[in-house]
Amino acid sequence: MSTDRSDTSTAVPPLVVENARKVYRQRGGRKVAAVDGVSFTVEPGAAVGLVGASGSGKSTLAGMVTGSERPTEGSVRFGDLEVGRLGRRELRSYHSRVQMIFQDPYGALNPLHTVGYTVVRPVTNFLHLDGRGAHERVVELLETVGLTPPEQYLGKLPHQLSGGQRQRVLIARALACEPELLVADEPVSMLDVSLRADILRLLAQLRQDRGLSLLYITHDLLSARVVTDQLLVLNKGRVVERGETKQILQHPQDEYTVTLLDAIPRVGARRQRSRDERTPNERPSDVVVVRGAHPMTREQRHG
Amino acid sequence: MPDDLLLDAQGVSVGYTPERGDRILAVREVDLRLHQGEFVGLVGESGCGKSTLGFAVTGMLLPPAQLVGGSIVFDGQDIASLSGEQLRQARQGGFALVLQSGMNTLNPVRTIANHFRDLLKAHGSDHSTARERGAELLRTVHLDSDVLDRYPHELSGGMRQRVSIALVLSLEPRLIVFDEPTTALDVVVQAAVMSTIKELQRTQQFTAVLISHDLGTVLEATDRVLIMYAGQIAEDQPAADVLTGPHHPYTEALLSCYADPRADVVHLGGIAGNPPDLSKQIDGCPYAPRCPLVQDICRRIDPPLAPLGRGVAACHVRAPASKELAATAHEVADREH
Repeated sequence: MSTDRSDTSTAVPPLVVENARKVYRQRGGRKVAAVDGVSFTVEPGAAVGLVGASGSGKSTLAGMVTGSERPTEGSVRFGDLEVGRLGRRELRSYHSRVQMIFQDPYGALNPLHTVGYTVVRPVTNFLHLDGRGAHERVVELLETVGLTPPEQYLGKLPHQLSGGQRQRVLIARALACEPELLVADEPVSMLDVSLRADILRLLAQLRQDRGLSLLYITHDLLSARVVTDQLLVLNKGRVVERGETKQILQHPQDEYTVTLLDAIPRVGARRQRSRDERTPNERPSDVVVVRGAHPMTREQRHG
Repeated sequence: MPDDLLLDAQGVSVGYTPERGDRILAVREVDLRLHQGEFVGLVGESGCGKSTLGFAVTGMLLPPAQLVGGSIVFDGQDIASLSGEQLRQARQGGFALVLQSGMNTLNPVRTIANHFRDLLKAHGSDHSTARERGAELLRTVHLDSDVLDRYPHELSGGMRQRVSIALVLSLEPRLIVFDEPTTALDVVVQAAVMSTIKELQRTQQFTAVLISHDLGTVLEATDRVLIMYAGQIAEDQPAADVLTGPHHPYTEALLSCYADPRADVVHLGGIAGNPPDLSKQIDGCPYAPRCPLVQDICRRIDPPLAPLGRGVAACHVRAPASKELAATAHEVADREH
């Protein structure tokens, strides 16, 4: 990291989690460390995955990063900010820089608010735009997340949208305040398999187009492979393996990572084998997210 | 009816009539035949009618859903005509449903032992031995018998789903419909619960239907897979053939959503577009607007199921006999007019 950058006010800082511990006290006084001494850094523009099964501590870590949980020990820092020590007002301005999207696109939207209202709120609150300016910003955001034509979605209520469309609205809402870091906690696990690729592609694209950093939390190793470059495997609150995503998945060292890999239905591997046999010399980019029958690589996306 | 046929549903149509607006035809003239001891998967995207069909064949439809056509014969008895009390009796040793949120349907203020007692009592069985019976059933789903004295909130999601499976087994059903039983669970627990379901099905020989949007999970567990699209069966194949197919373009698209995270190059597909609006009349093949292989005929005539490989598929392009069947049907219709 260049600390001597002249324009420090606009430079995106890294997120540094250092030796974070979170201890919960159970009934009867027994203490449980949900997160037990975890350290990692999300550099500007990087995408880091936290993977593990339920109870591995990954969501508690996400909570500490977004400021909803305070570490019992250790620290979470974003630039000069010590996230665990922020007061209410500071936390609010922190949230204009660090946004989250959650697992449940069905529960995270107010059923009485239209898409337009949901997305305009943060635009008004954080960017202080109103009237025409705010409207234009909302339209732009809906376009960014692929809800087009935006006019068609502005007046819709959550129940009129599919799960994938709701998750797009939530992503638009998260992007509204122009965050620097997006924390995504299982954003596709409640969506149909057929809709996942689209949301994952959107996340990958946002990272590329906006230089957004991403902290991606999941138990799904395939989606982690698609959107992250680095991976931390968590088990019982501790990091059991870390490194480059592809490297870890191809050469897992920890038994627990192997368990996670083995839990995946074999259909993907079997498809892969038949594909490799058909096209042994094909080596395009590392990850190709295909939409329906129309393959789309990174180059074409920008063409 | 051959003796090993347990369920014979023909021409089943289910409509949802909202307070305002048009009736939504969620299941459109589906035939479903289940043989004794068979494990069948029912796969499709949200809203394709798979759960509605599962509810229909277990007599669980509640208003505003309504059976608007067809017959459902379970073990020689037409269950479409049964009333509430008769249905309850038919469920005893008949058919049962395990839900996705089944683990959340446990009563928070009753112990697990009480759940077994209540269930056996409600179905008029001997419940004096509920504890012993409960302990035995919990063992079959790989839970300790001390779970009997616990409350639902003291159990993990995976354990609660195992309890709800054990409860269902207590009535010794011959058909169990599992509706997304592991979707809410994490991968590792999901794999473990699925393996228990598979094992139970094999050892206890009940007939099972697994409803899921996840073709990958279904292929691991079942013998036969039905792919549903827009309220109809698009394809019906032995599970072993689905990967090696030729198959319906929709099945192909679903398969493209899977990849191996370990591969050098990961190809991950999705399905562009949305399924059709089921409150409107659909002309031609319902998948035509999203289909990469679409031809002119697809937009005009809805393809009937026709032989493809060892199964059947509804596709003019992949199952050419669809075309001939459709042509014959049209001729008959013309003659009748």
